[in-house]
Amino acid sequence: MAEQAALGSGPQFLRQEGIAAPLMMDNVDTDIISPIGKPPNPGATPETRAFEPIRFFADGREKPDFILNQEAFRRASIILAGKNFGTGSSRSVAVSRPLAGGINVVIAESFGPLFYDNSVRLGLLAVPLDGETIEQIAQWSFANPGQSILVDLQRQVIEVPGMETIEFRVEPRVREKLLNGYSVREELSRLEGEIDEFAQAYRQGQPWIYQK
Amino acid sequence: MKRRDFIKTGIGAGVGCGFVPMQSLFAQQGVAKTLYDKIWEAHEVSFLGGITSVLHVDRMMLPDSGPGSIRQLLDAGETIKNPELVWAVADHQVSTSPERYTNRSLNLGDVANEFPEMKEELAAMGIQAFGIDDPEQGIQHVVGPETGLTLPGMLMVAGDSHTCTHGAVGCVSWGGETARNVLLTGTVIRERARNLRVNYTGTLGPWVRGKDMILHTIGALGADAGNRCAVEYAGPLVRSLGIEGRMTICNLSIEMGAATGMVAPDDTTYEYVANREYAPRGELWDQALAYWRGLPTDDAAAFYRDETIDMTNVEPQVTWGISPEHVIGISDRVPAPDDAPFEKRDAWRRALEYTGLTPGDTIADTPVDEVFIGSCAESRISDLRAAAEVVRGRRVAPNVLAWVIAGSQPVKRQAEAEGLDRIFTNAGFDWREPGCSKCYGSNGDLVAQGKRCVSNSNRNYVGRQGIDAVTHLVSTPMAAAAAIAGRIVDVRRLMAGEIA
Repeated sequence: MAEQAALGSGPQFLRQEGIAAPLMMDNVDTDIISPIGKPPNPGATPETRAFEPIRFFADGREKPDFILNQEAFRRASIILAGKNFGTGSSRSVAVSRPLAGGINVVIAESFGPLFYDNSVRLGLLAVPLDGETIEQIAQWSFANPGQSILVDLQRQVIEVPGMETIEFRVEPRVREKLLNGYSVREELSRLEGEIDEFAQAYRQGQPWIYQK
Repeated sequence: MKRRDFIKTGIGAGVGCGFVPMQSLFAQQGVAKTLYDKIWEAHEVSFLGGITSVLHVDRMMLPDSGPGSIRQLLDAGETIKNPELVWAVADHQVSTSPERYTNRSLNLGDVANEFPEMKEELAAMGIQAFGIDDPEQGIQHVVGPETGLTLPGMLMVAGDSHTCTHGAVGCVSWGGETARNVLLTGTVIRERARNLRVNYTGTLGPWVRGKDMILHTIGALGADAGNRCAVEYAGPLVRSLGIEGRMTICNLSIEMGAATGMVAPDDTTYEYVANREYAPRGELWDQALAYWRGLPTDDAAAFYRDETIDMTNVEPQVTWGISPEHVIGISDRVPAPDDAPFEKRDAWRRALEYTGLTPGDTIADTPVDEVFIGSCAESRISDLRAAAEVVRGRRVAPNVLAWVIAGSQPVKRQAEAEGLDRIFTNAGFDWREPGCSKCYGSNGDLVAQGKRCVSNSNRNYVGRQGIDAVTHLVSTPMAAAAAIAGRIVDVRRLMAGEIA
């Protein structure tokens, strides 16, 4: 298949073929995904800074029960999770650190709103799916260690060998942004006239906002 | 595609200076709307399909890095769109040590220097920038409403996740926005949230406050209850609260997983906003007020979800785990994983393992190493007064490190004028300078490794306040009581003299 060239200067996402690691917890928060303001864990590398508190003991040893520390899932590029993945803060490192570790897709029942916004901005695909389907993919992943699944944004489908094709939906704007590789500024620059017109009318309508 | 024709017809239609009270426009439309819908539609520049729109921004609030971000853009030859709608305040990276004004290197990054260096240049652009030397400085979610930079009806955005706090004055506010995009375009792209209303009924018992209302709500509905929702807090109990109590409730909307949280403006709001430093005055005030009065949710408006929380018999709340939904009353016992709904059992097990509590034990009497009173959740004057009432005439328990951090310089000055600082310091609390501090420590103020902290902040996540540190979220008076007793206690019993 011919690769679609990026039209913009932002991150592009077309599809991801890779290992899906089940991290089947609810409320995986941004302080778990990417702590900030604390010294990095002594065991962490730039690729393994995501999930530090559940990935390493304080002395830098790996926690063996953490999914990405298990041999079959070390090279995973897709994470499967429960509800409210990325709940918490607006820190962009909650998306950029998983990306640095090769995680390009998170499939979850729901997402924290600010993690979700950052994922759209930075080009990690956040796929909302029902819990039962995620559970089935997780079971498949455990039963087929080292095997890949395909997440295709163009067709909005997930293909798992031996399973029926799974359809998903993202916002039309998100799909267009990621397929074309637009930055947010590029998306908005196309609307500059409309934005300026609105701002002028708005200033007349609500003058008190400008009297600070 | 435009869905804001109703507002366009209002503007420039020859009525006064182009102002038409929103209510009449909605009445013309004959469609009942929520507060959130009204504010969303008043800011909708362009509809992008699905549920996504481009929205006009009324206020962009920048953190410590604000002056630096603006400097970078100006140096690159860029133009700031609507600079008069931008303001900045140093809070996350400032030191809270009283030495910070003389030993400027205590402040992390460049925050101590960039604000004074750029102050005049920013002021010339219409941008207020409050550094540590300015009388307005403080935590952004305290400073915004306090200065009148936050007003009802606004769309207020920022980077910080607790921007939802500002919704307490009847605006729509959220974090997660990139300074660069907003500064250059004056707009944001967002997905429209669904309307969730939380109605509070019943009465509040003694020493039960806004913090307990929202913690109890998150416990009852879950930390993901607000997923893709804008939450409107309503009902007589919310009406009876002052703006500061409402801010505490709205502050933890993000802990409920919500896009934002808000309370419809009422006379309490207008009284609070009037005569603030940057609030409109005179004729503009009258215009604004007429507009604001049209904002509250119409009686017939439909909600995606409507929840009622009865506060009767709800006790002061305390968290036992690693999510704000892990919360119980102070008389309750630590729950066992087997008590949890099936899908939450693993999470409860992990939570108990982290917090080191034993199921069946009372949460009361859990020993405490540190107490933190501060943060954008509760560090306003009414919070500090409540804490001081508990602390007056008592002493912090030996071996407990207890801090009080006023949310802003004005709060600090007011507290000092009332002698609250002396009450705290005489009891053995540290009385420090305004900033975000130990809520998560990006300025270096951390809970010591593996220690247990009772905190009036908003997040009890793993490692949030420090490596392997355990956080128990409570209200401000409950935090004060824990400092005195050296363990988690019921503030009502402490005040009744039942606890030594």
